[in-house]
Amino acid sequence: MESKPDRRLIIVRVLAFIGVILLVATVVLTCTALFTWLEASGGSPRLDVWEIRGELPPENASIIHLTEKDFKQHPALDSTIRGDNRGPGAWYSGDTPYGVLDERTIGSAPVTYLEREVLIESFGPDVEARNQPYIEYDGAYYYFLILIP
Amino acid sequence: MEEDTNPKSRNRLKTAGLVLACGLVGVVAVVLGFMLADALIVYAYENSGGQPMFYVMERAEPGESMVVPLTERDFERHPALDAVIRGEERNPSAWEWGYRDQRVIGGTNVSYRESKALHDAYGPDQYRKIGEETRPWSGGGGSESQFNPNVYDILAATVASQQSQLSWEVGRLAQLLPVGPVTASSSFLRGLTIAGVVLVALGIAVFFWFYGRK
Repeated sequence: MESKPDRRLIIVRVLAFIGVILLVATVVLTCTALFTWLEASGGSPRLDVWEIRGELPPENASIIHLTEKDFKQHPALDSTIRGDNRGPGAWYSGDTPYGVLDERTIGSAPVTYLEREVLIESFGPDVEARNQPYIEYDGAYYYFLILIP
Repeated sequence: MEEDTNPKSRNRLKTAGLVLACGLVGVVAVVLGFMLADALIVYAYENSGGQPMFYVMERAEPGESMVVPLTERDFERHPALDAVIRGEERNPSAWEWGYRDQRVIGGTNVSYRESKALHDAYGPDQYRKIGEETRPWSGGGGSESQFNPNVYDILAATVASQQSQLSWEVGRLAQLLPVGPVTASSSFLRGLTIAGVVLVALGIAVFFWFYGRK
């Protein structure tokens, strides 16, 4: 007769133990999801890439030739220039970092603040001298800007 | 009367033991809950389809940062670090771009676990090292041992607390208790701790309720 209440008590204890574990895990997961959502809702920087054409580049210009390694290490640049985020627009005469030239938008992709810093340190511009290199790939010249929300 | 006190005191001891056991079990349950949540978060990130990118930057000067000399053991433990600094993922940019005092060495994809391990091992630390002797980028007057708290002075709630925190000795880790505005993370942890204690108390109450019914 006494063994049934004892067994029931043990089952309740075990269930309570499991319940506390699951409750703590649920609270932590919910808070993590909430903080992540709040962080993401603030927006992220955006990489915008343009292609330029004309008599390029001048003799003493700095040119960075993009390699496969560059595309592998900068997936946002890869997706914009030759991937899913590539969407070339129409050519127009615009104000570029190199003066007034024919240009067109190539694409746009979201990046993190860290990727923004890495792209600027890798491909310019020179923040102090305000000098922007030409970025060349497959015979075409590009430049990019990263807009902060 | 004497015959009654012995069983009573034994019951009291038994009750105290059971309360302590319930408390310990509650703490273990809370810790396991945190571990389960951590494992689930890492699992969710790993299966999200994305992968963190690990970048290495080279600085012209160490500045005010602590210097961690890398060894072969570090490179063995962190193959991504090895690949980027001296392996196939090394792809240094020019110094002249960006802020000129640093350049990108390279980058590679890592798993979320690896990114956590790398951050824990070499992540940003806001303190300058204090050693035994004064050097260009570190202070002196401390010791080269792991017990050195890298702190010259600390703001504390009371004078006694400050003296206790600053009177460290080799062989015993210093316990530093910074004061300041309560941040979201510290209030969150405090809330969780309170919730944990309340849950443990509820568990004990449920136990006594069943025990009393019996």
